[in-house]
Amino acid sequence: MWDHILLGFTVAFKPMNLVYCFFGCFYGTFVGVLPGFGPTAAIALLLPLTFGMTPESAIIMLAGIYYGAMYGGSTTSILVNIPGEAASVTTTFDGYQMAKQGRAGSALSIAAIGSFIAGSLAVFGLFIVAPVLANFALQFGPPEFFSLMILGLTIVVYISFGSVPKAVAMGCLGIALGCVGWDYVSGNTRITLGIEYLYDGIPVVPILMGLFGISEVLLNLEKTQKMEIFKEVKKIWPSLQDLRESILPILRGSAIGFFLGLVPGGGTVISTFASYTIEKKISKHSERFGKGAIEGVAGPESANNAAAQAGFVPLLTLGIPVSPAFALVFAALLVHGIHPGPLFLTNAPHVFWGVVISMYVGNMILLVLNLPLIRMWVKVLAIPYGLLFPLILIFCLVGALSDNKIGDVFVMIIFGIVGYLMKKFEYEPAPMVIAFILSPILELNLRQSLILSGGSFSIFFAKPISLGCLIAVGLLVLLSTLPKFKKMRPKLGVEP
Amino acid sequence: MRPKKDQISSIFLLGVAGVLLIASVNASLGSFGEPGSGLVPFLAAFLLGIFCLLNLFLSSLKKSREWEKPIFSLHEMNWKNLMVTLGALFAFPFLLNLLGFNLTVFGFMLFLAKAIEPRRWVIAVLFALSTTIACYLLFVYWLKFAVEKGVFGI
Repeated sequence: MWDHILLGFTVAFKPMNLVYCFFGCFYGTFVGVLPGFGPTAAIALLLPLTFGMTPESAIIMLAGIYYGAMYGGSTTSILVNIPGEAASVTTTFDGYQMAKQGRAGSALSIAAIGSFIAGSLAVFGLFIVAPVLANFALQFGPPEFFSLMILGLTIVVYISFGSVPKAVAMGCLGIALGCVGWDYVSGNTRITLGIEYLYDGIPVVPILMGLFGISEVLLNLEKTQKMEIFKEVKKIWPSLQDLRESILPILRGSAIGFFLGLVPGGGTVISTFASYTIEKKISKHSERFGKGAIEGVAGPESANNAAAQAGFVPLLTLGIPVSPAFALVFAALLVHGIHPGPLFLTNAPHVFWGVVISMYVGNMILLVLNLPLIRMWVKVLAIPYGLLFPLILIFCLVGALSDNKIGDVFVMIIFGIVGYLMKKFEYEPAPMVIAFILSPILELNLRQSLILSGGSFSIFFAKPISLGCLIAVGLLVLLSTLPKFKKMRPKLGVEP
Repeated sequence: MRPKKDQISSIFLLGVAGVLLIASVNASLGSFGEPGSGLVPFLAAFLLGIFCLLNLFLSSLKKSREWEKPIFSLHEMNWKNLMVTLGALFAFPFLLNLLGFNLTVFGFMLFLAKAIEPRRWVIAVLFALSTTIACYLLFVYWLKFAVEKGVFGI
């Protein structure tokens, strides 16, 4: 254990990794502050930059962007009443009210302090949970992996916004699209429609850049909205009273966020809603919620940061990305020839422990970036979108050229339009993206299981872990048909 | 009566499912004991079709009086911005071969800086120039992206 921690420190404190960690946190905060530009788009945009890095540097930077965006998202929620990313929606409820009452500084500082405490506790949790889960996952064979992936996809579908049939359809489409190109088992090509470019499959990076980068720009360009920004942030440090009222919500939010972050599909959004609901339920003055209760900022902001870091556990130990942002990190690892899964800790301990320790370093960087420099981030809100969006587009366009294939640029633009239309027709991209990324592993495990059992599906029910996953799938399907849970679903949602 | 959003999208996706089903069958389905290349995409496309039909059925059950916001509103949407940006995006890969990386990036940035929220020429040119230099340094010099030089060799 101590050897691993020491290894993690050695990797995380390499000068270049510290630079990447700082850059990731800075850029993540910048993106989190900007309304209408989520962490997934931010990661997609910089993914091509990581191709020239070592795997640990790449993941350290991408992780920094992700949890940096979680920190930064609170600024926009509090000062503009527009969530910087989906996980900051609950912060608008009380944070904006606090800003209207002249307490923007307190809200921002509690969000930053809560995020720091939650992030630090989550790193500690990662130390304990990840090796245990990885050891447990060593017992997994093809049937267990297949059932676990089906469970992950079911949860993503269950918590997606809008209609269940649409979300399932998107998941199925993702699986089918993930099968395009060479079948490495038989050596045949499939669903290429005779197009030579598709023999290697549909490239993942241009798809993600299109779905999350280009489509966001197109959606933002078609509307013109005026924002009322509270530019005056007077007192930055919270009072003792604020700290007293926030400490328990921060600890509760950290625990909720960490455990929900471990569940495939749980993610940051669901944890913030869970934290907010619990804080409101147990408060002696629940009537203050929605009118500027600091607990309503402290709990959810802590929860989303804990979940952002906990999500690395299923990704790295089971090879299951819990959200599209993690799917991008997964894609980055694959590009570097590293396959996340139970053997990841054994095969690439320097990457795993380096990333974990870098998260703690990143949390400290973010505390510095978000407290003394808060006035700088407020100024970022004033950058005109007319200058910002060409920059986003050019980064996507040039980034898609990383393999020097013009076809990748067209794929990105087409999926940008597809993503735009999906939003218009109320389809969520999350199930499609996660299914697309998981498709090759899902297919491989299904085919191996069927070959092992001689074509009998009973193999999935004969293994206890696999059976447990399938029972959970059945329960979720059953729950989704109950009217009470149907009403709850639109409030939840996978982060974009 | 105007077709509903879900009806349009479900019919389109049914078509996609049909194409995927045919392509999967062509790729050989095999059997459950010896799955072929097309089995998993076939199952996925089959389920896609089933859920599209379900969505189509559910949307047709909705009362026709139920108000639904139009998908594309001529009055609420800024069509000009959308079309200009899409045009620029599609032009980029074509111009890249012709003009080369630096000139295309410069032209792309200058065009968008003038077309969407028009700025003074000096600001637009400075913005385009600084972005082009930054892109060159980042992608070509540092990350060693192999980029087109175009007919001017720049």
